[in-house]
Amino acid sequence: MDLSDGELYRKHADELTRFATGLVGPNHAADVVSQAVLGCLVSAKWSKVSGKRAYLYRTVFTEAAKFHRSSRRREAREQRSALPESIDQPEVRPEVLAAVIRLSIRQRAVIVLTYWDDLTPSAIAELLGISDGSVRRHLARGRSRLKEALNVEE
Amino acid sequence: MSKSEVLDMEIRSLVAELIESAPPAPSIPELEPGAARLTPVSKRRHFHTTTRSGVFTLGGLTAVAAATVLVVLLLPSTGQRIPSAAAAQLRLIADNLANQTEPQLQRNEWLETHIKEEWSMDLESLGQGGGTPVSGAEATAAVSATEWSNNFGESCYSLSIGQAQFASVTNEDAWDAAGLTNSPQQQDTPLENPTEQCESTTSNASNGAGLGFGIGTTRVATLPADPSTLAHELTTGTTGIEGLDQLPIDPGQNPGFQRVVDLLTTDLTDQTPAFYSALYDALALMPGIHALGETITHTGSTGLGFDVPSDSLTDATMIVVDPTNGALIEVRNLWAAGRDDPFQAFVSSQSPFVKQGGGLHDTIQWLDPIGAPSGVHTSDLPPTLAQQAGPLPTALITATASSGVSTQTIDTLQTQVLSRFNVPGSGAPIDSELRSAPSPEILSFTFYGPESQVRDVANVLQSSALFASVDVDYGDG
Repeated sequence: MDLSDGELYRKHADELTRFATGLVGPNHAADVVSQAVLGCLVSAKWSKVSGKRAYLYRTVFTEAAKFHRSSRRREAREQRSALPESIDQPEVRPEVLAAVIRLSIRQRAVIVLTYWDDLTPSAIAELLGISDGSVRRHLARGRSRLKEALNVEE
Repeated sequence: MSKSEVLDMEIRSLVAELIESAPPAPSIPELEPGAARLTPVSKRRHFHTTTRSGVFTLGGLTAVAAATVLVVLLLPSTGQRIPSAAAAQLRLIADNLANQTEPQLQRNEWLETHIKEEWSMDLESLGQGGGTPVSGAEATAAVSATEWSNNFGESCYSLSIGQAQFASVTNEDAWDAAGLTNSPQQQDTPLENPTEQCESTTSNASNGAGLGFGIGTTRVATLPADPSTLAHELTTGTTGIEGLDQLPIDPGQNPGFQRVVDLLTTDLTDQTPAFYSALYDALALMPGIHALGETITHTGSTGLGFDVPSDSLTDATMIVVDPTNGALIEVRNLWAAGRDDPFQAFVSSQSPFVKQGGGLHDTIQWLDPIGAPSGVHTSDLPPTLAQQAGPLPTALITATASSGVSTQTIDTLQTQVLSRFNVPGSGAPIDSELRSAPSPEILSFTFYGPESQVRDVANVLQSSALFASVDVDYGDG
């Protein structure tokens, strides 16, 4: 059954927000998802997209990467981080953020989809539209960086 | 656990902490029902359209079903999609449980449950104070158990222990050298197999026995119905149920999860879908629960798996639940400490273990409830248990004293009631119990006679004006 855009968004909103949280943190995940979804809806290609869930994931990823690069938004983030906007959210320990910040956006995406969603490399490749080999490389490098950050012997 | 597995666990925990901090999904006004429709714009404009107040409309709502190759787990009966986060999965299970039909036990009926277990037994040392290390004395044994519980806080169980199984001849030799036997039947004094026992409690401090039911018979009515209160009490160990609050082993990161597993594998009387629904809602409120996703049990059944990665245990306890109805399908790596241990069935009277003691490391590798609980009559219990259980009560009266009424006053009334009603010719004998701690005093009577006797006693209690409440329970659900 075809879903309306509203229904489609409500169906995937939670998982997209969690994915965005893994990429940019809890304070900016909602903004990234909003930007990404609106970007999809006004795209001329949107109506022709067959795998809309994967498309939404890729757009969230792209939006997160833009956010990551944007110095303007980084400044805004620093200002907003002083606000008590996330007072009701579970607190993330600084050491967790310190470990994640070592990862590139692509490594974060692969790590989150591997360890939270339990996806295989080929499933991640399909979702993000990249090759299996690329997923495995990002996963290996991401694990390696986290190993150093977490001070775990392997 | 290998170092690579340790790293994976650390990363999983780190990712879980980050993802669980996710905010609620944003509301997008343009996608709310009744909002103006969005129209597609040029590709160039796409990347500059960041306003949420635009009046674009999207034509051609040809939302073709996503042709993704990802496995999307659906509940077979409802088509509900399984969310990926543990808390959301647990709330879904709680919701589906709340819709289940409550088991209706008739008078003289017991709820019968079948369980199969696989125990791993490892004799690590002989002698006190660390003793002499024993190497390789490891075996497994299959155990099948049936339990019965009624609405009067009584439960019985029957369990059969299978022959010891060994991974290698070396293990068997070490087992034999330690004076252990290969099957219960080989002992000089034959072990009662199956072991059958009944226990009864109307108190909330029971610490009974039962294989796989380490905290003893527990009345659900003694636990809070509110999920957040339940979660708090289970996490902090303040339920007031001794066997539940005092875990035998330090559970590491999340004692609440371990206590939930205890409740899921314990013979609860008065169990209802509403209680189990609250239990899963409580679990959803606890931190650190990890969703394992679609999990296949050792028998090939499929459900949703949950565990709490912990650095204090080699293998984390894991539960597998049928999301459609909340039924527990399997528990793996259940702590054995504090539970009746089939190891005792393999210890002959000549074993050094009997004389010197020793150190054991026993776990329940898996525990599988078999089928759904069903109601049976007392006559369907094994003869020895039917005899132990005796006649089922016809009713319970629980009277809670009003504030300021002394224990002595209640005690006097109890004596008067028994002297008047617990005499030949006035019905079957009545059991009574007065609990004065914690206050207020609670006076309970258990009846085996006719309803007229129950009503007469209830009237006496109510007319005494000593009680804030007098509840009569005929045990018919």
